[in-house]
Amino acid sequence: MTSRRTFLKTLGAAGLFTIIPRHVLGGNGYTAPSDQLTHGIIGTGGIGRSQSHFFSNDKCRLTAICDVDKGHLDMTAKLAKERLNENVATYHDFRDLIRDVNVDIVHIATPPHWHGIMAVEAAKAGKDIFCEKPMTRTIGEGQRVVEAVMRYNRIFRLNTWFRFKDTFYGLGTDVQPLKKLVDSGMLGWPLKVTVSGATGFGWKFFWVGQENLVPQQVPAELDYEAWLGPAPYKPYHPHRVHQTFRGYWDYDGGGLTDMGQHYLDPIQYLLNKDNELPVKIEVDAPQQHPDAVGTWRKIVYTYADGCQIILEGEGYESQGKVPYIEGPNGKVYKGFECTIPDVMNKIAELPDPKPQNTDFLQCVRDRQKFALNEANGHYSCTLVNLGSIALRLGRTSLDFDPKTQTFPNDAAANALINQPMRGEWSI
Amino acid sequence: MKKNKISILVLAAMLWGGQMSFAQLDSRNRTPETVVTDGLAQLPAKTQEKYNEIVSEMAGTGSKGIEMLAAMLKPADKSQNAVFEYAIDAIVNHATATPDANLRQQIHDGLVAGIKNCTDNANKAFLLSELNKIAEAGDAQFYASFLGDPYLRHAAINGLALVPGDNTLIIQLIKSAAQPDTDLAYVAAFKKLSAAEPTLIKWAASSDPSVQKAVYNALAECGTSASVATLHKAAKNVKFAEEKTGATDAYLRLLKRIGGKEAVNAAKELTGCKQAHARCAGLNILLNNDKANAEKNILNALKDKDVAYRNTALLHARNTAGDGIFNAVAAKYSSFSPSAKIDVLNWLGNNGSPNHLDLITKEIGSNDTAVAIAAIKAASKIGGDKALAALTSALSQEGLTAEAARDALLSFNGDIKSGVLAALDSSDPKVVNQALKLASTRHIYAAYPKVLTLANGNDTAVKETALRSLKGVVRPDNFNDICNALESAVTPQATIELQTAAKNAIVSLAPDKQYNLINANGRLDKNKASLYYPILAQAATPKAISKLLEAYNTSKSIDAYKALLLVNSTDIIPVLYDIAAKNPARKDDALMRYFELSSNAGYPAIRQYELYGKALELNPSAKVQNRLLNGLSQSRILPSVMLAAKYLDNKETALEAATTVKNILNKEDGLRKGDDIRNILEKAHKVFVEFGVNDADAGYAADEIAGMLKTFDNEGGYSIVTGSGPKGEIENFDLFFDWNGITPLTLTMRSTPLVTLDPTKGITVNGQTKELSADASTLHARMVNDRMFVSVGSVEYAVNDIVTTPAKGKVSIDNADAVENFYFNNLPDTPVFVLPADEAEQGFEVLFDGRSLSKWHGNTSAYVPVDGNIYVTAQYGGSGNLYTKKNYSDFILRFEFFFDVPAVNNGIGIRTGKDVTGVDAAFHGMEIQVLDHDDPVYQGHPYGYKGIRPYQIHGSIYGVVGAKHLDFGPIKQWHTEEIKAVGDHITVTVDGQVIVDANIREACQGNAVAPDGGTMNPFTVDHRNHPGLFNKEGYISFCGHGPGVKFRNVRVLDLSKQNKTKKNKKK
Repeated sequence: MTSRRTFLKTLGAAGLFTIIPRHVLGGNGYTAPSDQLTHGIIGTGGIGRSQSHFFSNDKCRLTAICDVDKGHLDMTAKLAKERLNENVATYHDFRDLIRDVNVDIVHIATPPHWHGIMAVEAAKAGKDIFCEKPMTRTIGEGQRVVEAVMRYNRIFRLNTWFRFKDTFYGLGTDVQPLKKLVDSGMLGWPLKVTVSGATGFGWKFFWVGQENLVPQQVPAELDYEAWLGPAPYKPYHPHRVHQTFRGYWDYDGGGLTDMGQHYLDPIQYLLNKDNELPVKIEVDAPQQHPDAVGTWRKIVYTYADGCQIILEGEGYESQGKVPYIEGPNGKVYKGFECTIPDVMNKIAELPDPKPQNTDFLQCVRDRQKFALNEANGHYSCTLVNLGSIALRLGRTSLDFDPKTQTFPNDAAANALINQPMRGEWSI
Repeated sequence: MKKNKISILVLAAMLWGGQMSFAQLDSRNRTPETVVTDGLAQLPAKTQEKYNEIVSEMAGTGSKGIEMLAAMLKPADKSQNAVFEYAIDAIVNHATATPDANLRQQIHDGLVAGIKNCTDNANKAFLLSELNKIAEAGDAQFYASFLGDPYLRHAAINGLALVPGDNTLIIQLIKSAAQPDTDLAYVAAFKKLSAAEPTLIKWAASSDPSVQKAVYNALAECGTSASVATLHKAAKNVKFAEEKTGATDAYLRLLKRIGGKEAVNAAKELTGCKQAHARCAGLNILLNNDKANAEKNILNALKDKDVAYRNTALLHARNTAGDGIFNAVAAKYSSFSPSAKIDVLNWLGNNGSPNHLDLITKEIGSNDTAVAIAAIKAASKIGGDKALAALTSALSQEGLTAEAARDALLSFNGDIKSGVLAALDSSDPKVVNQALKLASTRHIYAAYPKVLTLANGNDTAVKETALRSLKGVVRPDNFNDICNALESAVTPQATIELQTAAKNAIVSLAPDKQYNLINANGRLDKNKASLYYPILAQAATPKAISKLLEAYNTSKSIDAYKALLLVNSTDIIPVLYDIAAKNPARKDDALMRYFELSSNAGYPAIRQYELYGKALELNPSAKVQNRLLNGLSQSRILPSVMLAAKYLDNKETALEAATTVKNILNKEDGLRKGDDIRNILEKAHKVFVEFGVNDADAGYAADEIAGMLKTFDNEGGYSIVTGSGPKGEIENFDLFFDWNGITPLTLTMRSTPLVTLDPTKGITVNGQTKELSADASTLHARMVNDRMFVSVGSVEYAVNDIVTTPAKGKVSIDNADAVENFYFNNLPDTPVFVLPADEAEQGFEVLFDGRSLSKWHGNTSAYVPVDGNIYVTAQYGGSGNLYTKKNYSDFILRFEFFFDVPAVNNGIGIRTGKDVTGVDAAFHGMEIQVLDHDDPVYQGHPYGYKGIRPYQIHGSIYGVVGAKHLDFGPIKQWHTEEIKAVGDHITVTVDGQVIVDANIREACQGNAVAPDGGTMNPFTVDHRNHPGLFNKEGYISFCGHGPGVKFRNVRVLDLSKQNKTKKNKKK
């Protein structure tokens, strides 16, 4: 309560000044004395109005918002006025927000079928990018984002954070001691990491789609054509959009793509796989519908060195005590319970993990890569997308070549790496 | 030889145009139509095995199945296509993975034929998207044929983009387009078709920005040097800004792809433009394509005032200018601006270059804090002795710099031991204090002697930090030292720090070893023994616990008591209870810890109720009572509600008790019944209303309860039993009680002694004796029909067990004094089927009366009597079919059936054997089909009756005689059925209509199996062999285990006996 009050007070003071982004004020490279950055949000549904995006303070002010649902846009503009004391610019077309000279950082909080296009367009316009997870809906789009960010040397942050802060989900520990334990080699190698209800990670399996949707009238406030954008045209039904879009392959991929990068990214970090992808993906799942996403039971990723990541989904939660990380010489469970005696003392002797750049605004100012950026973010998102591809094709086992980022001998799987876009859209 | 003959036959049948429906039978003798309908009934597959099985069978029908499925698609706006979409998608996915090229081809061809015949646009778009997965080079023309259709244009473009192989046709389309086509430009971009370049360059002349955008994008992806001029002009026109045609980005992508001199010259122009990010992109291209001048260009860039530009140079420095760039940059370092210096320091750190540590370490002393911190971070990343020395000496600095130095040392790339040890010898107390923290955090054991000396010493500037740091540098060898220091500690703070250090010194040892070390040198016998209690708590061995208990009991040691509360083991739960029970002053703390350990142990509901109930009985303070009541809401059983209700009257516990009552009843619908619970709920409501005046949450809770009361069921539910049991003869019920754990007790249910609790012998359930946990006290029992469930404490002793008892009887315990909180729920009696007078007269025998499956054997766990019906459930596992215990030959079987879920499928086996591998009533006996045959999943089949073959509809003698179709109307209704079997004559009557009246021998002209001995039998309607068709006798069975069908009133008249009797009478 107190924090909110002080927050508003600060804003009241800041609100007296007209905001001008630093690059406008001082031309190229000029840093305004206040060092104040500005940001704009594309997609003002649930996530766009969450704390990680919807803020304005003296370090970074909210100057613009964009949505193709006029209802969302108007409500969020009103909220910006009431809560943040900001008169934000409102846009229907995200390209107008991206080109707005009053925006330094573009927050992408749309459904995932837009993430790749918007990130690339933002980079082209010289903006830095704060993107929601999952990073992109296809592996190919992720590659395009990496290229575009590199091309213009932009700063990119993917919005999950467990590789550098917070006790993650039900695991009851933050990642740092785990990282030290893994790096110490005390558990041996290769390692097997299990993500399941028993290790504290719940999959949001309510993100499933519905089949046999009866076409409905598009509501007046929604520009459905612009909402679909690059996705194939399908008749409108309210379940396709807004809070429930995750249930459709055209836009996302259910509980896996919703929570997957949250859970997989810290594991990629723990296993030192930021520059490596698995060679095999195995899936056990009920049959998937070609449009509506379903649930799954188990996904196993195997790396060339034998390390494995096991995602346990529906039906696996009741299987009792499961180690989060298991190696030939030891296991570590939820709450950092470890089979290695005196483990806390042992890891205390080791150096802390390499420091990470975790202050995004500082990274923007210093032009240093953020801890979770386009490159490692693309890899952890690729894990998610590899799972989706295997699920969609009903493959129990899929080989992957990390070097070429393709599937040897599986043309259908390869065709899901780059998926054609509709109408005027391309990436 | 036989097989050859058949395949020739099949081939011939195919050539005849598929008129003969038994063409192309699968390994189970099924036609493609049957395979498809069988498959559809089972999709979507739940398991991978089932999926693989069904899909490979359906795919195995080749072009036929998929074409058939495409034709089954209803107009998309009818929204009934899911099952067909599942099937088509699965078959296509199968085709993409099969090594059988011929099969893949067939499925492809079938799909193409299906698309050609499809008339609904949305369905066509779906089918085209499926075709994308198995498209062949030749399909380009097919896709192109949809370009003119606005609805399907995107699907066509998608197809063209994905079609493999030769692109001649696409190039032709592009070249011959009357005007620029943005979609085709997209295909060229997607497929990187450089042959399209000349046309695309022509199209670029368009003044339409959307055409320009598509064309520029395509040229970026597939253009060559020939496109540079076009894109350069376009980008320059917009001053290299980003705008709607995307010219600048396309230009940059093209330059990156072609590289070379052309790119270098272009890049130079870009680095001079006014767009900050385009300059970065230009520099990127320049450095990567002009490596000879990379060093010069990088040094120049570092003078730029744009931080992004400078960092772009540094990002590409090593790759483009080689390792020499480090020296070159270092040599110019002093000429850079402070912010460029920070960039360079970051860069040196990120690259881990050890050759420039002098430069970096010097900057650690910079007056500019930002520069100093950047230097500290870089030094930490690079590591080595020099960096260590510099970072250690930075510990003597002030504020942020010293903090940064300490953090840097914590993640230092290398061994910080020597640096920290040296710093400990410093004369500067600031440095020593930081070094002590480092030594402790990083467990630098070599620092131990020094830390101990400082901790025991008198230098107040460092003594306190040294005491606090000991815990990080101790090992088992130091234990005696620490104990000595502990015994001579003077301040309470020092005592605590030294106890922590002593614990840490031995924490790595096994509990027994820890205990032995603590107990050595007579420590525990001395007057300072109490100093060691926290350490004993860590060891937590039985000996350690009894030492603590002894100290607590004999000398009332508060230290021993505190230590007992620290023990982290469920073993201590009963000990804590005991302390709480015996010592009122300790009650609260002990029960708080007792609760903490109990609630973290993950016990089942009954066990939690036992533990919290026992604790509440001790009547601790309101605070602890509330804690326990809160925990009780996790135990969602009736006794928990009753227990919580006892605390509604006390003001101090009312709110928590009401919350528990509300939370349990909200989640357990089945408990919201009967007057007792209603009264409790109303009372809880009153509590919330009272509190709600000042508390919004309580207001919401009151509303929530008001909602529950609205739908409350006043009938039934639990009531409290006094004495030895409820009155009357009782059939179905559910009960709980708490047993005192001392007096042996027998629970009689339906007048049958079924459960005995005995403190020495354990628990006996239905004749079987098992171990019973010493403090288990709460029993839960449930009897419904012929099934029994019994649990005590945390163990389930009977689950869905079949018991033989009278249908009704007394429920009682033999010692009412040994029991309290006896709650009883009299569940409704099961409706019992009694034969109508005429059937009784005729001699019918009841096979299922509603209560028990005693006349049946086989899968009695998935087939359960529920509310007077046989219900097929998936709740208790079990597999296989349900069979009568007796065999029947000629008979009249009557029963009623009820479809509880759509599309449900079962069957009545007659004259069948029991299911062992390969025995299926339909073939080894007869199966009279039970099927919700009008469900949409069985519809839309162009070949058979509404999607299923006539011999598959309800009532059919499966595969032999088709039944007359009956319209059942909506599901969830009862239907009557009679199956009469006399010799070869089978009659099936449903809802009064005769739907089968047939002679099975005539139906197959006497050929139950193929006369040629083959697997295909032209004489049966399903063309399969039915070797058991003419069985003389066998079981009657229910042959399906998909949940969702009910049967009732099952009775049979054994005609063979009657005949005999008649004969006898005649004699």
